[in-house]
Amino acid sequence: MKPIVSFDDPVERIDALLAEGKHRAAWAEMIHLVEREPTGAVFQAVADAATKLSPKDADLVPVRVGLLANFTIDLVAPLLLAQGLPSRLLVDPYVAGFDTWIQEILDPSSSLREAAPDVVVLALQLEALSPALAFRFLELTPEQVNAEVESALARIEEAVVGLRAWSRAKVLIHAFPTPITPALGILDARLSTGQTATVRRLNEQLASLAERIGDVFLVDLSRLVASIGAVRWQDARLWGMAKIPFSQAAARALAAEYVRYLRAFKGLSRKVLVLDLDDTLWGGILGEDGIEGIRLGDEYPGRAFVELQQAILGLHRRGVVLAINSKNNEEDVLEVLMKHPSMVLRPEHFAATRINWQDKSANMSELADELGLSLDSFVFIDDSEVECERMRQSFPEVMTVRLEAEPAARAGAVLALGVFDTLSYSDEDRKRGALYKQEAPRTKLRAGAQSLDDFYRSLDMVLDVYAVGRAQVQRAADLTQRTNQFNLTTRRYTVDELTAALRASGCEAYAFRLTDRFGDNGIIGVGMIEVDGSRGAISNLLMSCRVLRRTVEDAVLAFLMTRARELGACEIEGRFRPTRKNGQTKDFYRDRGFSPIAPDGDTERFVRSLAEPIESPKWIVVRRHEAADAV
Amino acid sequence: MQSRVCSIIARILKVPAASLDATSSPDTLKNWDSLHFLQIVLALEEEFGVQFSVDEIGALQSVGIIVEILRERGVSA
Repeated sequence: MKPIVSFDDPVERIDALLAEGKHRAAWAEMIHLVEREPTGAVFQAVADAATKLSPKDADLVPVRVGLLANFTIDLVAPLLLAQGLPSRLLVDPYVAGFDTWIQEILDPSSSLREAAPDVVVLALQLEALSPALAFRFLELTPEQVNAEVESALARIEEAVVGLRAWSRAKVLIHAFPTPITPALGILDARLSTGQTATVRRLNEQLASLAERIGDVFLVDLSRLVASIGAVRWQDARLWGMAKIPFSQAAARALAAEYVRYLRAFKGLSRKVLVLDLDDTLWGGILGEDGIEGIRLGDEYPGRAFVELQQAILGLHRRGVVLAINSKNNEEDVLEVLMKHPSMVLRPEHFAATRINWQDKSANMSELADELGLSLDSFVFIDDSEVECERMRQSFPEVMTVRLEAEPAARAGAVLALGVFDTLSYSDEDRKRGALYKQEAPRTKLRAGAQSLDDFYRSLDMVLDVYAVGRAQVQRAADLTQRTNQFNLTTRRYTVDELTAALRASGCEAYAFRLTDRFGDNGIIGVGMIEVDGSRGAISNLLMSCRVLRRTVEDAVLAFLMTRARELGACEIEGRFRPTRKNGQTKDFYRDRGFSPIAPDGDTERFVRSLAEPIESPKWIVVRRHEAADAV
Repeated sequence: MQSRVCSIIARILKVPAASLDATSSPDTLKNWDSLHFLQIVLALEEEFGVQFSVDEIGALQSVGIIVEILRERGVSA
């Protein structure tokens, strides 16, 4: 065993960087350390050091999380902080006292309220919530079982409704794990009145409660227990000594699961999977073994690579954008992609490729530019430790995953990454990879057109404008969560929040869909206006980076101004709230004839009269559609 | 071995490793409360590949005793 203390202790190095005010570098050191040495001592040391990070200087997204439980959940807090860092989350955890969840929510002067959490975790164990269901199940009549279920649900509902009275925090509720040793043993599984069925029923009703209240999400504990194994999940000693119902390994899995939700809430889920080729998508080196010699087919190890490709294709269908970053001869690779009979992934699945002999980090920057997506939404997979380490050094914000040595274990490992989560799934997601793919011929066309106007005209663009109603609200909310770069105010909405905003008077939201000669881009932008008498304001404006630099943003702006004028506004205010990501939009209003006025806190404001003519690009046909169904 | 034990305790309690010695205990370290103590125990188990019984855990009340019990469990260096 190697000693932890070396002459150059990484924790001391982190402290030194923090003392020098180098927060970004300290953050990068922290995530390297956690990756290299994921031990309890390191998690704790990193969590302590992370409390000194400035979110602004380290470019992190702060999130306050309240942990409420009817058992000892304290050990999860430092893990949550340490495990959030690689995703650029800076978690500020608040741990409520043991079994004080109801008081914390209902007491107007509770510390939870003071902590003003963005997210509240309600982690309840059935053993404490309903000891009768957990320990004395066979003593209960079916009526008593029902009464216990109802009572447990009523207490949870009271808590969540009570929380909603003072907070818009998102809520994570633990669904109850099905019992490992059910009351009736092997018989339990087939009885509709068994303990297992009762716990499932409880969970179904929790799910409908979550849906009814809104912004409430369930943590599927059964899946977590299954994934690490019930034997490893428990540590009877910790339960006996400290009322901690799980092992250290389980606490880490739980924190990692919370982080998945936090990423999705904060728009930090990864979107792009960048793949190496040799010994990653297939076994062997194409340049040496040739198309006939690479391992890919029905027999091990070729089968393992086919399975990995199937797993990756599944992610693509979920909306993950795929790209290649490989040291190879491009024509050799294209031959494999098109002709190898066992390839699952084909050229149409890749939105962008860099197959050349240049440094992979340089390729990575180019891929980010081409796709219009920032590097912190990228995952990079490679079998070479050297390439992986280089990528980590160059871009700590890229999630770099070194594949395990055993090919057969790789498909499962890629599926278990758990970093591509979204809060919804739509047809848009299913098509997203293909949408990015269409960008390539357009970029080529731009290079060939004589003048920019000719280029725009040649695109045959049609902008469909939809008043956001029930049919579009999901997609519109999604875009507010996901868009970072062309996003003027970066106000994130869940479906429930957007619905509430639209029901308020004077507020309208529009979703924009762009079609051009290469195909349908789907819904690519959202704009929101508020009109109060003669004053209008564009409170939210965001667009997918895929469609920028073709004047679509001008058509969108022209539409929003025209609409504000129809509603009686004489002048319109544009708002810009700077973030680390949206710098490209800082002059958006100024460049379009708006004049700056006094800012409102961190929001810059610009104003323009609506008496002047409003011009929309002539080469974009705008078609307006009324909402079929108001929210 | 004592230096490895101290290093773990230092990381969890956020104190300089050099400030710890065989006599360091809950009485000399104010951060050494019950939850931090559990974290120390779990981290020691992870580092040295052992598992303590609840009785043993109850006895781990100073750096010196921890080192002694680890030795009894056959951990060297």
